[in-house]
Amino acid sequence: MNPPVTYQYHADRRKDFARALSDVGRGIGLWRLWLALAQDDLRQRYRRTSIGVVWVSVSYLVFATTIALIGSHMTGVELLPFMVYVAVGYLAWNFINASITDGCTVFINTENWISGMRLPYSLFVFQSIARECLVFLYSAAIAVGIIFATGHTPPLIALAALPALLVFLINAVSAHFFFGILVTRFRDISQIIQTAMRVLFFLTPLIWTPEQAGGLREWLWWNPFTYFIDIFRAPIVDGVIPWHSWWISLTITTVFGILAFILFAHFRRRIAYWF
Amino acid sequence: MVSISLKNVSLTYPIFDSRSVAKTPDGAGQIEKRARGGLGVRALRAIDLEIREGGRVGLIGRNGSGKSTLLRVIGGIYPPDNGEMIVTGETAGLFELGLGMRIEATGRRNIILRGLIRGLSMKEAQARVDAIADFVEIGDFLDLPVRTYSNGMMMRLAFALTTSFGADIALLDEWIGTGDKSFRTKADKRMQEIVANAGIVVLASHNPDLILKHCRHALWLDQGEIRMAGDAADVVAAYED
Repeated sequence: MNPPVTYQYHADRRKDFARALSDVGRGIGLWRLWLALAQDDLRQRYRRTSIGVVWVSVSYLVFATTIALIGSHMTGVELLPFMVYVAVGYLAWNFINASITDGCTVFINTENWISGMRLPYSLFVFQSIARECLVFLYSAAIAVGIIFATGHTPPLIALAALPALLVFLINAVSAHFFFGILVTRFRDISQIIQTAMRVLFFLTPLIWTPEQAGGLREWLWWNPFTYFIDIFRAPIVDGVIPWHSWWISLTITTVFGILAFILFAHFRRRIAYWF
Repeated sequence: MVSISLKNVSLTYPIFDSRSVAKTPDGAGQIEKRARGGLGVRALRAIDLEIREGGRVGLIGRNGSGKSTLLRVIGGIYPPDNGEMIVTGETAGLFELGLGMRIEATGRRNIILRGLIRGLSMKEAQARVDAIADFVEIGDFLDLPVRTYSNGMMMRLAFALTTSFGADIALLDEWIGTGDKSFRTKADKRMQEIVANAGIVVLASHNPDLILKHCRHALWLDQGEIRMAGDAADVVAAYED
């Protein structure tokens, strides 16, 4: 028989950091649960539709093609290379965007579990990210199709996009903790973030290239998403590793990760009171 | 050894929705200013509590006296503002209908999910489905979404989910209201099993009969404080006065 589980809490000796670490550890240990919950989330979202989650792929395909068509007609760039550019950039953006906007509501949406059972908070973070990864895979399948259909042969160096995905994952975890906690306490932040992300979609080189940006180009470098998109897209589309963007992305990832963890450790025990 | 120990536990819920109350704090002293600013509802104040294995303890008190809050503190949902607590043993709480369930998912799926929560593998969780479905007597509803269930059916499922996965400590909040007679008999038996296995059952209710029927000891809560503790019969008698 296992030794009994003990739950100890001393209001004056809180051990916030140790508890936050053990929260993440227990969350990872429940991987079966969050994978199952993520699947249920998608099943529920596409409940009673005939093609289910495949709608993710359809919607991605329609959007990427439309943008590529409009863009190439408006600016005169060649259609097929531009289509690859849009498809890959939009794929990365969708994941980043979801990890921020879903991150905002990660605890609010799971209130019903948080106030019913003593479960690690990280469980809900992993559930949300697992769901976003599944969505990513359904779009990525189409993206791969687009790349080969346009006759673009990705160079071997395109594999350098894989570590970029790892960076996205780490930032997704940070974003869920960071925005999840802030938004649960201050609900306005969710609206602010959603608005900001909609605007940033147009201010990030996704449906246009930096060369087309004209005077805006100087400002682009203030937008952190430019770098994150770059580290994923450049290897696939241009066959280069953008080292400059990598350094900036890694710096942001580190700082953001530390901030998010401190915030989580400090406010974890208050989350249940904020509903 | 399964046990619950609380020392000097206090808890105040913050209120975020209203600032206007600030000028007129409640005369009863339940609404108070918090140390860090803002308003709060004082839910528990300096609670001392010891429950040892095999304990069957009832929490009795009027609405808003802190029964549910105390259960959730023991269950580890709300870390208290003051004091310390040690709970040895796996807790399972039934606080409110629908908590910890996915009402869009089927009964079967909910049973499996609860198994996964308790650390079972997918296979082990699936193996539990039939026994629990039998206990709940949901029959064909097992493969329908929980939102199609009647209140009583949902209640039975919630009780089974809480008590079927070997938790040592069951925390039950006004749970028995809707079950029919045959289910109540089963539920009684289930609670006795937990206690016989050196577990603990804590039951919150404002219904004296329930407390008398199920509990040996009782705790009378009044405005977040323990008014009286002791033998269930004595406490209930004093409460009813």
